[in-house]
Amino acid sequence: MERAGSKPGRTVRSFADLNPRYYRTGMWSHVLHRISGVAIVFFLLMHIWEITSVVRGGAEGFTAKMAGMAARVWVIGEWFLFLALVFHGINGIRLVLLDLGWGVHTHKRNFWVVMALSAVIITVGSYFFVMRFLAYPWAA
Amino acid sequence: MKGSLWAWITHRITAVVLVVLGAIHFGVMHFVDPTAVITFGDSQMRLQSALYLVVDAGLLVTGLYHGLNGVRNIILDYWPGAGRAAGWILTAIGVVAAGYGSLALAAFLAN
Repeated sequence: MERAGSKPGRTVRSFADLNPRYYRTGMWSHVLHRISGVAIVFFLLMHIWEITSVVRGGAEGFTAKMAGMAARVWVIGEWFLFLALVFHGINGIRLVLLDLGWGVHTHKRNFWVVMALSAVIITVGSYFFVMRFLAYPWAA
Repeated sequence: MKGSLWAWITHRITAVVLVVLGAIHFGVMHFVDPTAVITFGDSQMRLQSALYLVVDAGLLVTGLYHGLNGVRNIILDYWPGAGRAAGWILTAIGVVAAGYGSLALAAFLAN
C-alpha cells in the first residue's frame, strides 16, 4: 500500500510501522502529542483534587496540603509536567496553524522548530525548578 | 455543523486559550517566586483580583473540555464504536469536576 504523499516505492506494513524504528517526524509528533496529552489530563484531574482540598479541609486543610507538597519529589513531578506542557502547547500551535493551512509543505521542518523552541523554553524554565528543588526538603 | 465538527473547532479554540492562560498561570505559580510555599492566604489574595479569578476559572473549564475531548479523540481512534458512550461519560466527569472545582474557587472568595 502506498502511503499518501510518500515517495514512490515506500510501503506501509501496518503493524511494523508502530515500531519507533520506523517513525518519521509526523509519527513522532503524533506519539509525543498523545503521551504528553494523556499525562496532562491525569495531572489536571489530580490538580483539581489537590486544590479542592479547600472544600474538604477548609483554609487549614489547604495550607497543610500545600506545605506537604513543598518537597523535592513534587518538584521533580512538576518539572516533568513542565516538559509535557511546553511541548504539547508549542506543538499544538503548529497543529492549529497546520489546520488553518499554514506550514503544510514545511511541516517536517516546523516540527524541528517546535522541538528547538521547546528546548530553549525548557532550558530557561528549568533554572526556576532548580531553585525550587534546592530550597525544598526531599519530603515535607 | 455536525456535533463532531463543533468538537473539532472547540478543541482548537480551547487550545489557543489554554496556551495563553496556561502560560500566565504557570509563570505566576512557578517563575515569579520559585521557592514560595503556597498558603490559603496567598491564594485567597490572588483570587480576590478579577484577573486571577478569570484565569483560574477559564483554565478549569477550557482545560477540562480540551483534556476530556482529547481522551474522546483517542477512544474514537482505537474504538470508534464506543465514542458516543464515552462522550457522555466524559461529559459527566467534566461537569462534576468543573462543579467541584468551582466550589474550591468559591471557598477562596467566601472567607
